[in-house]
Amino acid sequence: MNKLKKNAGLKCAAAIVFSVSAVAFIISGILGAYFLERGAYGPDGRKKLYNQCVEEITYNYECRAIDFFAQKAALEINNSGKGADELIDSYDDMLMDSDETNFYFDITPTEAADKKKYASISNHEGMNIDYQYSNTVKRDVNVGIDVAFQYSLPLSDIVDKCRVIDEDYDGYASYEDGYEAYYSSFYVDYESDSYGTYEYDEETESYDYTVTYADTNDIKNYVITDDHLSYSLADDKEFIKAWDEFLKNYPEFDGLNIYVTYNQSTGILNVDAGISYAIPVVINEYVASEFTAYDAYYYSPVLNNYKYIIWAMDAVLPILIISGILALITFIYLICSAGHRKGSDEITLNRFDKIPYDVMVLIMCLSFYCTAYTISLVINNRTYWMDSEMAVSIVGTLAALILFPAFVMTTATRIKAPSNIFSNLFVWKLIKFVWKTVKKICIKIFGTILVFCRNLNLYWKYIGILCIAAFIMLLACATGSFGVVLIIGFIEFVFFVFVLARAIINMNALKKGASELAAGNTDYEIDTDNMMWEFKQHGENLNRIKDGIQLAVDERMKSERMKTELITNVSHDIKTPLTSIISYVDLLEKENIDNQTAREYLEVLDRQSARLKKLIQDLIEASKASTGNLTVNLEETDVRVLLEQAMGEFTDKLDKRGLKTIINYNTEPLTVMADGQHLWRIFQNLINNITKYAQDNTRVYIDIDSVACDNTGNSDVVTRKGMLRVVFKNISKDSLNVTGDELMERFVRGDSSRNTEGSGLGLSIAGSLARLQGGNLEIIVDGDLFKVVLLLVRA
Amino acid sequence: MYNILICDDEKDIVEALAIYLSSEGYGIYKAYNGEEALEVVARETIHLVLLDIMMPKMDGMTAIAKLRTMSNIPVIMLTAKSEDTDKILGLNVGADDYVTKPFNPVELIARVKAQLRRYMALGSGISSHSDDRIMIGGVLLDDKAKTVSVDGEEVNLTPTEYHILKLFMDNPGKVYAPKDIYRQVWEDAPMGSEGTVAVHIRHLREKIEIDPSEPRHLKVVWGQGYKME
Repeated sequence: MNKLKKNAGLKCAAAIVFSVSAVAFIISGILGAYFLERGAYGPDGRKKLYNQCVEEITYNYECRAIDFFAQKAALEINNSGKGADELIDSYDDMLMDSDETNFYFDITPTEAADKKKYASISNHEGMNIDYQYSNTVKRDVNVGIDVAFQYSLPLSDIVDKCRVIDEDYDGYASYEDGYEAYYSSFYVDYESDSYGTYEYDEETESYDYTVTYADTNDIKNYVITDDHLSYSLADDKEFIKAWDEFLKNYPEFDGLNIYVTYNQSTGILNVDAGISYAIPVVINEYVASEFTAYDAYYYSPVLNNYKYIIWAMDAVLPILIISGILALITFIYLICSAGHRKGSDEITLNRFDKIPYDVMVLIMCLSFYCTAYTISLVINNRTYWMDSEMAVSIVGTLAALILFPAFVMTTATRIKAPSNIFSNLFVWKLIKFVWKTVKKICIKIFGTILVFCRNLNLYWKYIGILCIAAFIMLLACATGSFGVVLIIGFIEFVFFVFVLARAIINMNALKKGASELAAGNTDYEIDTDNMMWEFKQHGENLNRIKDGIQLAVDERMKSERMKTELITNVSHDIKTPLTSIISYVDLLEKENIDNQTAREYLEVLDRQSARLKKLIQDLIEASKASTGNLTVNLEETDVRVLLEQAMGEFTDKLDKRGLKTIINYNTEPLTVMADGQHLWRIFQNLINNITKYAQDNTRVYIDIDSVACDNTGNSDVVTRKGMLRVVFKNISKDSLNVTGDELMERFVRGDSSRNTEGSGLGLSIAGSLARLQGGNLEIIVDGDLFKVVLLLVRA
Repeated sequence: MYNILICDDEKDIVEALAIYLSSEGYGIYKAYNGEEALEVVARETIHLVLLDIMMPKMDGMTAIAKLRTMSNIPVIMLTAKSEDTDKILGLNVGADDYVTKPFNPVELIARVKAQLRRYMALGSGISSHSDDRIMIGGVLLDDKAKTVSVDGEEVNLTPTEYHILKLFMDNPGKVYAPKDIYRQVWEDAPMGSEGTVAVHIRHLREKIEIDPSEPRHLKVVWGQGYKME
């Protein structure tokens, strides 16, 4: 089944079959309906149909009746009687050209060089058919005769009437029924052998004899006139006079026109003749004999057509059924297979499916209209001539034939892939395009205005707003209504309050952001999304400053960390050779060396390698402490206990130097938030310094009290519980020529102690560790008094 | 005679250690990376391993982990890294002790001896704890004889020191503040004289610890007190 769906050849064939069978179905359907309507399938159907055919076709060929008048006339003119068939043919061709039911032709006699007279008959489209008429015409009349026919009768009646008139010699015939409401009449005066037309002028209520003619010759014309003729005959002398007058006025009057009008709705034929400007011609006789030729000529094609009609009538039903079934099958197949293509299981859109659907529908409607038009033409038996209109309609019909299966398929495909059906509409696309364009233009215009306003200086904005507000107020005042002024005033008031509120909110946010920035909180970002105007700009600038600071801080942190890593790594690398040195120095010392100098040298080596070891360890610690690259576990720690423990560790050393320690506890409780291990390092370093640099046999004071300040010593900002202050005081054994701050720097010691053991990092490490725990360490040198102030966070 | 395997990628250090230890009468095996060390341990009868951490081919940590799958001989780490995390990691993977570079040869030998004593003589905790004998991490306190030995070597303590040690050993892991210690040992109210406790403990540490500034048995909890582990 799927294979069938994807077979392109099969689809193509199905499309063709569908097209053809659909057309066959439609045509046979219409024909069937046509026959059915005329009762062709009932009893005596064929006879009825025949009669109707005759009737209809006769009406369709009504023009040819006039042809007969003209023909008759011509025949009469051409007294030689030759070329009747020719004339019929030529007339036939000529008249066929006009599908109007209204036409006229001229019969113009001409004189050839051979003195033979010719009558030229022409229609409006300029076709000329010349035929000869002989000189044997009995009377050569040089005066033009105007002949008018006015009929309101069916064609056959004209024939009858003509005959009647022929017989009714007295010439008075009146036709009241169907008489048209204008009084153009024709009269014949047999006594005076004159005849003409007259017209009734409604304004003057008189008869206007526009045409008059009188000839004493024995004119045997039989004409039809109406009842007014008798009335006018009384004044025929005047009429003749008038006619003469007319001729005088119109000396160029020279011809004869025959006008024929057929009213299709009433089925009435009008024939009338008028004056034209040509050489006058004599028409001896008008309709004077029976229309024998008429029957012969007209009924034969009717009968010919009838043959086909009967055939069509019999064929309609089977064609209808077969084409219907074929059309249905192919239709279903086309619908099912639409969108399926070889090599894909998805619904695939082809180029045809991408044409906007409404355009497709429009094209289909047009081609269907053409088809309908073509069908109507066919039904009206217009198969005999091709004009531009018909050509278009036939092309449209062919297009419909080709397009219809494609249209069916694309419709099915689009329904199967429904996302395509509405989005791919030309109208929709047009609307979208127009909308987009309009939007673009609007955005451009308003955007420009907005940008202009935005870039205005704050002063100008302020002035602008004030001006607008004042202008609106002025307008309100101009109305003269206090109510309006009040309402506008209120609205403006609300607006200003709103703007002011926004400004205050924004200002507050900016202030907070700036404070956070000042406090060094580089993580705080000012939310500028809802800010307005310059506030937003200002906020963004602050954020940029923050970013800059953050970047700088990060960079510094990074470089510090790298420095620490470098120091740590280098130190580790130094440690290995140092281990060898220490070991081999030790081994050397164990050798029995008698040389005293060598032993001294070894001692130096031993001492210096030990110092190097200490230096490296301190270096690592100092770098870690200063960059905060240490884990700090803050917990409640008792400073008194710690101090006792520390004193316990250093008692021996202190005693050796004769240093007496006096500890003053001036506050309670003595618990602080600190990392015991790190705090011990601080105390160790400080007390170790004391054992090294304090004057022998002096007192060392350690005072503990609490202070209300922060870790920088700033008493304006007080932490919740205050700080615990531990002050170490001792007398330096050497005079100090450096400041306390300098002592805190790494690798700095009092000059005089350069050559003693120690790395010079002790105070720096202690300071870093104190700060890591939220405290601080400060060194004050006052003469020989060396004072260390340690601040710790109270628990 | 005990056999000791020295493993370090620095040949000079291995040589130096070999000299020290052979002079103490130990049999010496040498290796220069973790793989060699494992081979030697598998091949020879080794009683103790000195193992460097940072070595090519196979580092000390891996070597210890593998070694522990075949033997429970004592292992002493030699490490240039002094960070606590490294020490803890080493101890966790199965080292018995560690010495940070640059080390003191005397201290190293002391640690070697201590580990060997514990491993060979005391074994896997014979009579580790009874009414009279308390044994914690190599420290043995005989209450009957009033003697204390560390890693099998007897130490002389003053009566106060002995009492303090006994207090700690009775409650291992408990942190005693100086005033509590004073109250229990001196059996008196601590009227500001608990400062002496720290001095006594300092002396006690000097006697039972190889490196008093980095105690293994009697630890200082700074700002809170002391405890035995």
